[in-house]
Amino acid sequence: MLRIIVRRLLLSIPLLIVVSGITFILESFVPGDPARSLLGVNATPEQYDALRQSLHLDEPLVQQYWLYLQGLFHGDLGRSIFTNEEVVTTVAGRLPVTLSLVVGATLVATVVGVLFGVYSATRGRISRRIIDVVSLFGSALPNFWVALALIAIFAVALPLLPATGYVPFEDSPQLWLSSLVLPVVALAIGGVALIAKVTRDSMLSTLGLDYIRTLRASGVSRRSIIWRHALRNSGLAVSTTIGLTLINFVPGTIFAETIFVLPGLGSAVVTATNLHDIPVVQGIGLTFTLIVIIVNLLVDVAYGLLNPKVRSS
Amino acid sequence: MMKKSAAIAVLVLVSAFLLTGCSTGSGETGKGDDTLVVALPSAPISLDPSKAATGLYTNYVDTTYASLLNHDGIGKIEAGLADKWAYNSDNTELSVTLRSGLKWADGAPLTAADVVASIQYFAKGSGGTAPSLAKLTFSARGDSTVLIDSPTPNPILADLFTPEYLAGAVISPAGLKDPAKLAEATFGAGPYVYDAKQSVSGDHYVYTPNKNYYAQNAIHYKSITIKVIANTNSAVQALKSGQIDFMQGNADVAPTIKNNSNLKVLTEPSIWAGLYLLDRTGTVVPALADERVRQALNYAVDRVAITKAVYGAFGTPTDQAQVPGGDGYRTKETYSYNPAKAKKLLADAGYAQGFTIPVNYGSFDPDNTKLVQAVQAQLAAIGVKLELTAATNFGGWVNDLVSKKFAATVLSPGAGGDQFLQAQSTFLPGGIMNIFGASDSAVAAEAQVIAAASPQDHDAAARKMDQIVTEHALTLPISAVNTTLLYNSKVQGLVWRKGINVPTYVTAWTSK
Repeated sequence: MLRIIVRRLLLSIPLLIVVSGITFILESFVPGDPARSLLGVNATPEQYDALRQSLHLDEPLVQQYWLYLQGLFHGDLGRSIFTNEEVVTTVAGRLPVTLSLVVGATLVATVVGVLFGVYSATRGRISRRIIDVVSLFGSALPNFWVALALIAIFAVALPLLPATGYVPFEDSPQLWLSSLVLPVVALAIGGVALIAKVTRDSMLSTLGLDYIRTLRASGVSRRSIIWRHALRNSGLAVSTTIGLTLINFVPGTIFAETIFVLPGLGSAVVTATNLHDIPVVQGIGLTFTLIVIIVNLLVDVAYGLLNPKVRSS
Repeated sequence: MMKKSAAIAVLVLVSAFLLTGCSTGSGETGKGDDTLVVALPSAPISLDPSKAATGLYTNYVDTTYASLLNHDGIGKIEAGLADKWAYNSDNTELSVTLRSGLKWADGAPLTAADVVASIQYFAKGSGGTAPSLAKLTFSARGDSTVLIDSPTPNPILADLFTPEYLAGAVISPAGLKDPAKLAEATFGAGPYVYDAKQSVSGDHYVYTPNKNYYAQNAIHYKSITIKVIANTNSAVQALKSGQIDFMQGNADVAPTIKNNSNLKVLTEPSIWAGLYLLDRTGTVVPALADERVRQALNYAVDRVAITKAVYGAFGTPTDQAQVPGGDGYRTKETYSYNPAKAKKLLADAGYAQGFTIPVNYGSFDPDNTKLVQAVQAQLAAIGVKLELTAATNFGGWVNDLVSKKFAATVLSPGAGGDQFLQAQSTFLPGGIMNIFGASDSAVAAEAQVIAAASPQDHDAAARKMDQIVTEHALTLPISAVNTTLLYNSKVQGLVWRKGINVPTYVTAWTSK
C-alpha cells in the first residue's frame, strides 16, 4: 500500500508538468492581450511594447514557458499581471472555499446517492422506479437553473439561508455552514443519480451472491446484511464513482461560485482566463490537477481498505 | 434503534445549528445601517487609479482617493480637496488652491508638489485621462496652489480633476515611490482606506474610515464593501434578501423588484449606444469617406424598433452622439427611418449595389451584441453588409480596434459626455477613438469656439457641435441607454447628476 502511494506521488510530478504545459498552450489560443487589457485604448505603442517586454509577452511561447517552469521549481507561481498579488497567496486564500464546496457536495451526493441506491436495491419495483425518477430528475436539471431556484425559494421567498457570499469558518462556523448549504445542494444534485445507480447495481449484484443467502439462512438480520455485508462489498465500484464525482465537481465550482458569489478558485479562474492573467490561470490549473491526483490516491487507498487483496498485492 | 436515534439527533442538531445562523438570510455578520454593501458587475482591472474605469466603477477609486474637485448635482464644479479654483481670462490656465491642513491617509501632509507629482503620473500613464493631460503642464506655487497650463484654450481643465475624469484622484508620494504597489493597496487622501485583510481581490473590497480625512463628518459608514457579482440574477436576489444595498440592474431585472416596497429603481439616460464610424478616411472601406454614405446608414435604421427590442423602457431612440439632457443635446430629429432615402443617397454616392463594413464589438456586452445584430439586419436591407467580429474580452476588443482592420466598432457600454471632450477623443485628429486620423474642418472650428466660450455661451456652442457631428454623420447612434440602479430604500443621497450623467458615489450616501 505504501509503495502504491509513493509511486503515485512520484508519477504526479511529470503529470503536473504536462498539465502546466497544456494549460500554457491552450491559454495562448484564447483571444486577447493582457497588456492591452491593463493599459487600455490610450496606450502609446511605446508603453504597450514596454509592458509586453516587462511581462515577457514579447518572447516566444517556449521561452515564456521555460521562465515559468524555472519559477515553479523554486516554488514561485508568479504574480497576477493585474493585481500584482502572488499566485500562491491567491490560491491559498481561495482554496478553502473551493474545497468546502467540493467536499461538502461530495458528502451530500454520497450520503443521498448511497441511501437512494440501497433503498432502490432493497425495495419493491414501485419504490425503485420512484427513486430512479427522482435521482435522474436531479441530474437532468441544469445546475444553473437549480441554483437560481434554490436562491429564489430559500433565500428570498423564505429567507432561511443567504443568497450569496461566503463566511470563513474562523469568522463563524455557523454562518460558514449556512453560506454553503445552497451552493453545496446545487452542486451535489447532479452527482446523486450516478452514485445511486452504481450503488444499486452493485448492491443487486452482491445481494445475489451465495454468501448473502448463507447469511440470511444463518439468521443474520436484514439490516446487518444490507449495511454491514452487502454495502461494504459493493464499496469498490461505489468508491470509484464517488471519486469520479468529486473530480467532476471541481470544474462544477465555476458555475456554483459564480452564481453564489463565492471567492473560490472556480470564479477566479474564469476572471483570469478572460483577462489573460496567465500566472493565475496556471496556478489554479495546477491546483485543480493536484486535487485530482489526491482524489485518485484516496480512491486507491479506499480500495485497499475495502479489499484486503489489493493491500497484499 | 440506537443508531437510528443517533442519526436523527445529529440531523436535528445540524438543522438547529444552521437555522440559528440565519437572520434575514444575510450571510454576513451583523449588517446594520452603519455598513454599506454594494454590488458591481466586475472587479477593477487594478486598484491603481490611473488605470481605473469610470462610471459606477469610479466607486473603487472615489472611496480612497479624494479628488481635487467634484461635480455637484447638476454637473457644475464644486470643491474637493481644493476649495478655490479659477481660470485665467482665455481658459489657458487653471489655478487650484488646496484646503489647509490636508493629510494623506498615512498622516503625511498633502502639498501642492505632491499633487503635481500625482498628476504627472496620470499624464505619463495610459489611463482614460492621459490623452487630455498630454499637452498640459503642471507646477506648484507654494505649498497649496497648483497651476495647470494649456497651450490652447481649454474650458474643461477643471473637469479633468474630478472623479469622473480621474486625474484629480491624487496619489501620495508613498504610492508613487513604487507604482507596482498601487495595484494592491491604496495611497490616497479619501474618506476611506482599503482594508486588504478583510478583502478578497476579485470578490469583495472592504473600505474602512480614514482617520486623517479632512471632513470626518462626511464619513457615514463604519465600512463600505463593494462585492463583485457578475451575474445580474444573483445580484438581484442578494438585493431582495437584504445582503446588498445597491446594484446596477438592466431592463430584464428592474421590473422584478416592482412589488418590493423596500427597494427602489433609479433609471436615467447616461450613454449613447451605436456604431462608431471609424474609417471616415476610406482606408478600409472607401465608401465611408463619403458623407452621403454615412447619412444613408443613419436613415436606414429604425431606431425606435431597435431600442424597444434591446432596451425596452430603459432606452430612448437617438440619432445624436448624446443623450437627452446631455451637453449640447438638441430635441430636433435629423434622421427619421427612411430606407428609400437611404438607398437614394447610396446610389447618388455610387454605391447602389451596396458594400461591406467590417465591424468589431465586444460579445462580453450582451446588450451591445443584440444592438449590433439588429443594425446588421436593417442595413442588409439597403445592401450594406456588416461583417461582425466578436471579441470575448476587453483586451481583445482593444487589440482589434487598434489593428485598423475594422472600419466601425461598438464601444461598450457606450459613450457620451462633454461635447468638447468627445470631439477631442473621437472626431479630431489624435483622438484615441479616431483610429484612422480622420479630420473635419467644421468640427475643428467649433471645438475652438467651445474652447474659448464663456460659461454663458457654452450651451449654444455645444449644441452647434452636436448638430455638426450629427449632420456630418460621424457616427451611427441608435439609442440613449439608461443606467438602471436598484437599491434599498434606506439608502439616502443616491442622486442622478444631470449634465454629467452619473449618479453620486457611495461616499455621498447615508443609510437611515
